[in-house]
Amino acid sequence: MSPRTPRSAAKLSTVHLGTGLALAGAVIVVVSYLRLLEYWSGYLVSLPTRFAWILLGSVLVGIVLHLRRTSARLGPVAFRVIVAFLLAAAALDFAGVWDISARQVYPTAAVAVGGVLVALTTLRPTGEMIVPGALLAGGFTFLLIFQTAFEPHRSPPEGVMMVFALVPLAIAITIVGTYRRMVTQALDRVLLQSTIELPSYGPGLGSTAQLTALDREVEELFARVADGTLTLPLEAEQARRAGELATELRAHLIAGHQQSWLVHAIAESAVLAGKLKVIDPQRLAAKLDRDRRDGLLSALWLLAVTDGDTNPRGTVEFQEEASPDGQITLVIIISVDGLTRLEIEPATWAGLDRVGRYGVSNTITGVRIAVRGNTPPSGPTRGHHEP
Amino acid sequence: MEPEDATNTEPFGFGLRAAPETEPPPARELPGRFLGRAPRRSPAHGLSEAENARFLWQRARLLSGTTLAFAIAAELTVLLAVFAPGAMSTTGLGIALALVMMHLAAHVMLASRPSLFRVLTVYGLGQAVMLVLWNDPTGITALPTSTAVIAIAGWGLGSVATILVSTRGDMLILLGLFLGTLAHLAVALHAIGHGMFAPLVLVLGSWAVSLAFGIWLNQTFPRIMRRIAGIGNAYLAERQGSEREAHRHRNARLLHDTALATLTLLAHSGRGVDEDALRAQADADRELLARLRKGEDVRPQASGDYLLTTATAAAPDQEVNQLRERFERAGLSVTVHGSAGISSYTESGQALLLALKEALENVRRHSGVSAADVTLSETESAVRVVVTDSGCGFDPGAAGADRLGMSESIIGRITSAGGTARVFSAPGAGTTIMLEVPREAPEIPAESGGAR
Repeated sequence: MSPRTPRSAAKLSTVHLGTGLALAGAVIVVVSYLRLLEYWSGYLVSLPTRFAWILLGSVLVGIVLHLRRTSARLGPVAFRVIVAFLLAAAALDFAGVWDISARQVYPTAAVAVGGVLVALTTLRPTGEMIVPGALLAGGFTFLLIFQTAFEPHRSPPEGVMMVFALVPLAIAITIVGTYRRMVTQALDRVLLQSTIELPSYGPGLGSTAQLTALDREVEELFARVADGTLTLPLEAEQARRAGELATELRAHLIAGHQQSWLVHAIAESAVLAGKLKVIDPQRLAAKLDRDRRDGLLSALWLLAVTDGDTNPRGTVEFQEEASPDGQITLVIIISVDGLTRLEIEPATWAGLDRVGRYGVSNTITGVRIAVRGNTPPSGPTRGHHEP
Repeated sequence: MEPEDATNTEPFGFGLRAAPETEPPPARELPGRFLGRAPRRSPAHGLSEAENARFLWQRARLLSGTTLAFAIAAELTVLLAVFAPGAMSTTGLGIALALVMMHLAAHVMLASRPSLFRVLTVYGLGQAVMLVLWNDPTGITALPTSTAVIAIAGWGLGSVATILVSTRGDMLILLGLFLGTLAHLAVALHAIGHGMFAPLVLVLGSWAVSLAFGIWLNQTFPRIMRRIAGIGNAYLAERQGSEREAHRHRNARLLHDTALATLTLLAHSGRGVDEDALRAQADADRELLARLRKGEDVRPQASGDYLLTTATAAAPDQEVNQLRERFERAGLSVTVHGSAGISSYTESGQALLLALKEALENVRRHSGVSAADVTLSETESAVRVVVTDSGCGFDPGAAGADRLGMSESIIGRITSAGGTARVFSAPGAGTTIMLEVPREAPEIPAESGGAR
């Protein structure tokens, strides 16, 4: 089940996100460098700024060498070292600009540091990028406020350079964060999709693995009994273990049938797990065919998925209703708390449409959706047996 | 795979359209929110169109949000510049402020619902801001004014590059806008008497960064969704493999029943059982478990002895008769009526036999009578077994140990095989248990439900 781990999800996004941001970062570094050359031709580059660029150049070479060696992976320690050097370069540059504040010279290396950070955004968790970004922003703000006090006309060009250093960085951090969340969600949804192919009842993936392990242990015990390694009657300890194995085996053989595909689906999804509870004593969920399962699961997922602004929790209850003419209707009642009707994504209704007719009502704490599937197919469908 | 550009048939297909013609957006979405060319294939096969649209919409929001963020930064820089002391004449300042606000408003509208018209509005207003800035009599040589011109020409106008990258037509329009901006910048700088180098670098840089963000967001998305779909397919195949495995283990239920019996004997230290017999049984069970582990379909016969599945199936209903004989030895006289072709070589047949065994066991233990009737019948679609006794009966509605045992071992087995089990009984009125399972092919092929 390796694709489900957050690590591989993050890597998935990183691989594809990396190059584009590196390009944007490189543009910022080049712009800063061209500005430096401009000042250089006017003999306006102070000593600290020169040191800042030397330091920045060495760090850049170091980053490239490091990333080539680790195939584009950046550990937390390496990242902290790089950030420390980058911020030192920015500080030197600020000092250098301060030194000749009367002339028309503005930060260059500090801007380039912003560009380097943009390029690094995809390599570290979003939270870690915020700290260096904030420190750099603090440096620029300090410079802007205090230099403006001496030389008001300096502030606008300072502002332009600040935009170059900080705005792309802020946007990159935001986008990478959003993108990672989107990818995780899309991955969760795609993996969840495979659960509609489950048999109506089933032991679930984890349970199967446990049963296999259990069979293995029983087999070993039998082998030791058969070849005489263990004396008969068994010693108390081994007899106890045999009893335990029998109990576990029995539990597995019974438990597999007590849960429907929906329970397994919810347990396996990072978005749904813990948020939705299934109340289905008669295991009516098994009566849904593949298309209805898909619609229901899609709707439930959209109800539960959140970008952190809501905290939906609720239940899915299955009931059967007999009409006077003997027609049996499957009724699914979805109650979700912590969500208003307006916050429900429109695509949810498209999913419910595929399950049956539905009605929505507001409750004090959330919404209640009743879905009626008019003609549940006779007998549970068994996706497993389809060719 | 064909190149993605193959979809772009119109040379000037303006990319700011709704969704692709083949995949209409869901009714409640604003069509204009969908930016960019749709990927040639549905990006994630596992996703419904609506959910797919949801992810496309999120990307569109990121694109327009990026544009707006750059634009806001530009307007702030301009405000910083025009309010610098002595930067502009009062009239110029008034006009500039009004235009800057309009420009910002146009950007907000562009972000909320992108269209070519709105892009051109943003562009036109930006050019107007530039014009006012460099034509102001006070500001001609002032540093703040030239900075403001650079900010508008760079981020204020260049930010549209983020959303104008989805088709070649868009890119051509973007190129036109860029050249127009450069020309205006050159005229303005010449008029102010400002050097060309620095402004050119800054403006070019702004457009390049916006463009990089746009191209990156635009191209990464379909690619990443396709990869996610690939992972989903791989996972589905893996799951189907696990399901087959689970199915095999469930098929081996009878094996587990015998293994359980052996284990239970061992749990009592194997006392009271012939030692050699127990060892032989353990060895037989071990071998079956080993075969199961190695992927064989192991099916010992229902009626006791440990035999492997062979190609020749037992005669129809032979196993029912074996059951009958077994219960007669235990003191319950069973009369079998009719025939139904039940055999343990189908999953449902296996479940039916086990449930029948449990039902007869219930009669033997609890009914208080020593005779039971078993009626077998079959239709085209189902196989039915009815077990009747004239014993003491019970109240099916009351919760009791009997009933719990019955629901697990009888009803549970039958429903898991896709059938139905019904119990009719009342205290003193005997009990009838009706078991019905759907008919199915004699053998469940192991590769059923393989990867599609």
